[in-house]
Amino acid sequence: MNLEKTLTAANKEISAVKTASDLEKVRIKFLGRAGLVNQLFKTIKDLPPEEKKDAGQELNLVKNKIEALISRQEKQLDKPGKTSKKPVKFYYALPKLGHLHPITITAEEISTFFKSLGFSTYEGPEIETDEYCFRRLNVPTNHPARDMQDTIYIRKPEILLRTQASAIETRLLEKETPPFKAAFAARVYRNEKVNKSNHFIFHHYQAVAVDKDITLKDLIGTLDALFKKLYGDEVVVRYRCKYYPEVEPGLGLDIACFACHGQGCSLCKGVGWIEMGGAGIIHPRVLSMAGIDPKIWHGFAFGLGLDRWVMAKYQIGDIRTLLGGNLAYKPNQP
Amino acid sequence: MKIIYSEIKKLLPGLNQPVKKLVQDLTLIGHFVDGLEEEGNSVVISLEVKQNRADCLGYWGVAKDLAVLYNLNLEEPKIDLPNITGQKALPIRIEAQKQVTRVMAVKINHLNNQPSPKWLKTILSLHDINSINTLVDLTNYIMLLWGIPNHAFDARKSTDNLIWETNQGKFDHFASFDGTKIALEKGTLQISNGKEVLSLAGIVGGQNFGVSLNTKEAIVEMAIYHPTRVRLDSKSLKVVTEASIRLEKQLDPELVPTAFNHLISLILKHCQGKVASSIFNYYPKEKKLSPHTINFNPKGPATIAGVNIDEGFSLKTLKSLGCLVNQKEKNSWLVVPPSLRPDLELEEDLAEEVIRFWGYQNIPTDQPISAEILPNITPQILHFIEAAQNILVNLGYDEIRSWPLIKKSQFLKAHFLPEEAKAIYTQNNINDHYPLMRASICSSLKIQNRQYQKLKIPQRRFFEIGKIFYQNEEQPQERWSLGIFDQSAKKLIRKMKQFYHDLGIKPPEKISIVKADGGAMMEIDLNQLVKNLSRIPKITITKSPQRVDQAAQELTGQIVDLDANLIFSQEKDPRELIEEYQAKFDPDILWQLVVLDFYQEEKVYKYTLRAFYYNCSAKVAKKTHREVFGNLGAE
Repeated sequence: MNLEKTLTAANKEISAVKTASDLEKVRIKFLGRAGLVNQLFKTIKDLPPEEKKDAGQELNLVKNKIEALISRQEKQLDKPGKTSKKPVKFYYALPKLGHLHPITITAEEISTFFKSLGFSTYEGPEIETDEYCFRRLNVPTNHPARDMQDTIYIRKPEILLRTQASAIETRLLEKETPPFKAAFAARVYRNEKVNKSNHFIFHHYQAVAVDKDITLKDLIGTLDALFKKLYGDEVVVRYRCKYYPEVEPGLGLDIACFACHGQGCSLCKGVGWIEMGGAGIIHPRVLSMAGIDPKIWHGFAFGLGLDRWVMAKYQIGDIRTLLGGNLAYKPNQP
Repeated sequence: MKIIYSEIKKLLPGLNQPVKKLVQDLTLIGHFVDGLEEEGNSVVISLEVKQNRADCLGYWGVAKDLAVLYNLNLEEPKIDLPNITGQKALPIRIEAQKQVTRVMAVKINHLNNQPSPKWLKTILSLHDINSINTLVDLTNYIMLLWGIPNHAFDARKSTDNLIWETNQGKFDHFASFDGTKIALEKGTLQISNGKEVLSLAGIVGGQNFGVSLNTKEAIVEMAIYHPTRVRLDSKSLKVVTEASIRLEKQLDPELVPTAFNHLISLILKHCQGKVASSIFNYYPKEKKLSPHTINFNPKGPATIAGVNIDEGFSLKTLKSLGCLVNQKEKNSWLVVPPSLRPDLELEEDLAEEVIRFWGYQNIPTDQPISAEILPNITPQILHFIEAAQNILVNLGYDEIRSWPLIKKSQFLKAHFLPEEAKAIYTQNNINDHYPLMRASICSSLKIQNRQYQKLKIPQRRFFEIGKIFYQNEEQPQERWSLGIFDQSAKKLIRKMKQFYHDLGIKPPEKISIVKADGGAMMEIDLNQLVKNLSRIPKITITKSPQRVDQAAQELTGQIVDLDANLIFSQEKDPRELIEEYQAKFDPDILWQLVVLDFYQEEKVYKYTLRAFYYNCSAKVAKKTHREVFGNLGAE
């Protein structure tokens, strides 16, 4: 259906009429029961299902515009002695495209990779308990490891806003029966002052796998494949020993700086590497607390911070932009 | 923790790795190097010490790891201590026995305390510690070397009657060595002389009892406490020091005599003086670390890593770390970790030790987890959310994500929440303007709409899917909610009918919308809606920009709109007109181009185009406008 041609033709004919009767003829031609517009409506039923909706909407729009042109022309004809025509209200914009948020897009890119490896996805509460957010991750009360995360409390000390996606992991371990694999993005909260570089709300991406023969090699192989998928085969990933209470052994993940390729620059603060997240083999105590026998089952878990990653990818300089800030989408970027 | 290359080399004379290699290796075995500085002839390496490796808050612990890594001999500093016998005992009392693990103390008289020698000043300066005088500087030096904090009192001011006790309310304030006044709390661990508080144990010394150049008699003490006590005191009093950072972790009480003797020997050497008391040594039997034995299968590290790690390498590594290793039976060894390493509790901890020295970098990177399909455990709501957001994108809506914490004035309650639902407040959010959890996505939509209005964004049409929060009978609850905003109420209703249709659900007879500033919005309970679905349709995004990263923009200021009147002798197709002119712009500043008006007079066709400019000044926008449209560009 060439609607724009129909609209242009209607506009031309309507503008050219000199009398009310001619205008009525044109109206019947386009909008009458057997008119061009109704004929076009009838053709919609033959379109593929996925096109019907849009075609209907667009045709309605054309119909409305023709009605407006006729109405305006009627008013013109009512005013004798004037040969020139007043402006016709004629707003036209390219159709507005919708967009997903960059965090959603990035999380989905990662999820696509994990789905290809048979992972499900998962979710859990944002208002959590100390039990699931800390104790079941092998972080007892008053443990110095708690300093790694400043917590926002709803009811101190028991009810809080989850500080890490690992809180979903503890729910998953408790609820599901192994073997299982799941990967998920999650909003997390830390009690930090909001400014250009820090936010009290940000996003983690976490993956968990529990099976009988999970090893560090599986974990490192999976992470390497993920980073290659996201950054290309040339990406250099570094795995180093790091302490996280919920895993043993624990790993820190760094990738060679995109900007300086490991030589050291302002982006990587001179160290040549950019820290991407943490990982490890799930601590036997964490499995036991969830009712999973660590003598039979083993698992890996890893978590990545999404926000800085997204900021680099979308060239966003202020972390506040990501959440309800100045992020907007060009309506019809090709 | 900083280490000076030349200082660690004194403990490892065979160390000859270039600094760059040393830095890489330290990072790989778990001591992340986050800084490297050259100051004069010294190289200073900054380490991020793992939370469970308190032993590495001193040179000794780091040197032990390097000795294992490079197979080097570790040389203990030479300690020349005279034989101390027959002296009178100090009248020290340990009353807080539950909180104190070990204390060693001694009195030294006839001191000749001087400004520090250059070598000592340099070391402390490289560690960002101010030099005070030789005796005080030596206490800091020993803390850096062995990782165990210690303190010296001027005995003429403090008296010899030191008491380790918890504050029972007798003392209400304390002035630290730098004059800071600290209000004391009941239960704080302190050292007093019965009349005054001399120091907050494990945290900071007092103003009136410190050692100065005039000090002739000093009591030197080194102690280890229950880490939780120090941590709680440090947090509640809001005082964090080099000492408290170390003592809130589990330090090795067995290392105290060596470090203490080293300190005394250095004081006698550099400040002269004579030992005037016997050595006080509180270390009751029940506080002594009982060596714990771990059953260890030397094949374990290979099983965990998934690679072939030689059993001999496993056992050799553990021995080098100071573990006692004895074979129990085939594939089963009994391992007793050294007291320096309280973090080694389980067989998995031992395996990690072996693997980190074997090298994570030696594990193959090309073998990901098997792609075997396991049962799908994805909750239905997540499938549903994906379908819902894709439908909305296809309908031309943009996804936003916003803060679930809001101001009181922004609070709204979703229409589907129970009447008795109450707001949830946070208790300690330091961003105290945002104390409330949102109970309606509409709160977030309104905030975003206001922001978009400020930025003068045309065609505001957006949605958010997220959690909303409330409490029922004191229990926090959360639900998934969808909120949609459109500048046109009619369009919103029409699009929502389409939304329901695409989900395969009959739309409600009346779609309720709420008026918003410059538009309308609505909210849907997704947890409820998903229950109405017999199956969740698979929806893909059919209309999407090719480069989403170029569509999403961080706006740095308001959008500037300028009009241009164009005159043609022929009628134009509006789409072609927009596309023709769009191509003339720098895409980095053109947000959108629309035909705003059309006017025909005889054979003259006039079009008004409106150009929206972003992330540029009004001046740049006007200049660009003139360049593209010439004189037809009207401001």
